[in-house]
Amino acid sequence: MAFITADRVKDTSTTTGTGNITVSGSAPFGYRTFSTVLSASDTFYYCVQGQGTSEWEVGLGTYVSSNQFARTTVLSSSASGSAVSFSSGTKNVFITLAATKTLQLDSTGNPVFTGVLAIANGGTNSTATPTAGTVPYGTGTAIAYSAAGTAGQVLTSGGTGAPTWSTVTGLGTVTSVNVSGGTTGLTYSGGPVTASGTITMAGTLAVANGGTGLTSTPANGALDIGNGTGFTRTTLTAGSNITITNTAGGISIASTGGGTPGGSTTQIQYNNSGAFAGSSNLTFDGTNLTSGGTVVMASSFKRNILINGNYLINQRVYVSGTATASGTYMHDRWKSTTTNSNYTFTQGTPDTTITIAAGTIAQIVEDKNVAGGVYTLSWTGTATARIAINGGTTSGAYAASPITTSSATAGQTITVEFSTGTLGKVQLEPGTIATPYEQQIYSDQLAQCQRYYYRQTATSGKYLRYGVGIISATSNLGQALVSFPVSMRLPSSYALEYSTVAMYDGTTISSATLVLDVDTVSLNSASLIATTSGMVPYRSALLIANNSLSSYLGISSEL
Amino acid sequence: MTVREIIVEGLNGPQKHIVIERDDGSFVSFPANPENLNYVNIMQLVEAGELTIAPAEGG
Repeated sequence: MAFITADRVKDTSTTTGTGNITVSGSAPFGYRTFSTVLSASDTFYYCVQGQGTSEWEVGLGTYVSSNQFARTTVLSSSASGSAVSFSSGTKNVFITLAATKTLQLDSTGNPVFTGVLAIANGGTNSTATPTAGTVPYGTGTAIAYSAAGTAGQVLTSGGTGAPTWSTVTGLGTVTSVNVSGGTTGLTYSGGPVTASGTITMAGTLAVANGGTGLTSTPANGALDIGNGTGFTRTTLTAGSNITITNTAGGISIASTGGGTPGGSTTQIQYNNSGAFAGSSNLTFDGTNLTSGGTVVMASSFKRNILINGNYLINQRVYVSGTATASGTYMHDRWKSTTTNSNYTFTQGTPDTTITIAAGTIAQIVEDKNVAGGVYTLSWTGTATARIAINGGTTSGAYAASPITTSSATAGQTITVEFSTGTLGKVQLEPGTIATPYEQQIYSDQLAQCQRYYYRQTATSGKYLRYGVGIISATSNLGQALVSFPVSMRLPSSYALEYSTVAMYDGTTISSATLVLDVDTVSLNSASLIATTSGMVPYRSALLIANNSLSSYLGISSEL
Repeated sequence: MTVREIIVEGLNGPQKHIVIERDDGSFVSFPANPENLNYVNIMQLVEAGELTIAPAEGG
């Protein structure tokens, strides 16, 4: 079915009434028959006109079958627009252009058109008039027009509704644009832009502004690591038993050792050929460290190289508070280093705390006991101290416990010196850590002191025998041998201290004065020359306390 | 305290010693040789004018 319009299609009919029109099927000369252009169900505009009458009709016909069509819609007729009931006689029948169905241009060339043009045909499906300043918009079925705005307004969407005009506020004019990097580390060039142009950024964003401050290209696996002021771009460093593999955009960290603790709970871990292992011979339960085997001590186990640091040994019987000349020894190994130094104390067992009331006291560590390196001096109490290494003498400011020395040379004496205050448990040990005071067995500590000073006292017997000897060829001169309980430090340094001694030849006791016989001194003994009187020549004799509990005989080999 | 120098007769001949007699009647003596630290200290005090040593008779 199609709408057909065609030129020069004409026939004749003798059909009467208002029914279908049947044509002859024979077209006049110069025309075509209906059947040459129409098929069944095609529609077309027709005109039927009586040849000797005033009857005519124009309408939309539907071609029903060959040479016959139905008068589907009458558009105009001699019967006032209704279907004409044609009378007898021949009628002209032809395809025509219906006046009411023809689009034409008027005399000015404008199309003569009534109704609305559908959207599908490029129309607006609307009769709305676009007044001045309006803009068209779709309603979903037709084109409508917005209201007209005012000058300077901008169009604002109304969603699916009509757009509206709005006034823009805050209007102004930008005349120049520029950019400053400030303290960011960035720089800009190309500005100011007053019309058109480009501002170009360069430089490195500083740490303070969220940047890195770095310009180097990161290597595989590189990280930016804070260094206190900025960042260092570096790769990770593998510690022991760790491997690090850097790739583009990745870091792989793996362990090459370590792993699961060996042994059972509480067993101390040790390196067993590169793997952790434990043993029942060495355990720690959180409180006690227990060894089932032999603990082998390093040579530094006896850490304190000071002697009598707890003021236990007092062979010279220093009396609390006694003002003492510089260089005079008080408790063993401790000597005054200032005129009239003195300290007070109450002798304890085993530890004694002294209070240095005036002056200073010091101890010199023998060169043989200095292995070298850094030493730490520690003590209890309020006294302050200073240290001299490498055989030097003390100087400078005193400081509180603990004090660590610079590296000392091996085989050079070290002197520690204390100023006023309370003082006890003095320890000088290798390393930088002050460990608890190392307690000594009394006999060991006494023997350590006796390397430097050895005294016999007559406290328990007023005729104490200090040594055996002989009277010389003259009655006023004798010799006596004194043996030491431990080897003393240096025979050439010996000094003799004594009080109230006598020679006894079996008959006579006679007071004596003593000096060392320099030709007899050794590490373990010394012979004394006694000047006395009334002795029997060549008789064996004893060097004794001369009837006095205050008598004593001492040998000093102090530093 | 008094300090004096004495000479005593040893097996190998005379020896010089320094003897200090303290105020409590006790004595300190040591060989007067430069190797003895006590002697060196005493000599330093003598040189400083802080100590006077009575010379040995006939020494």
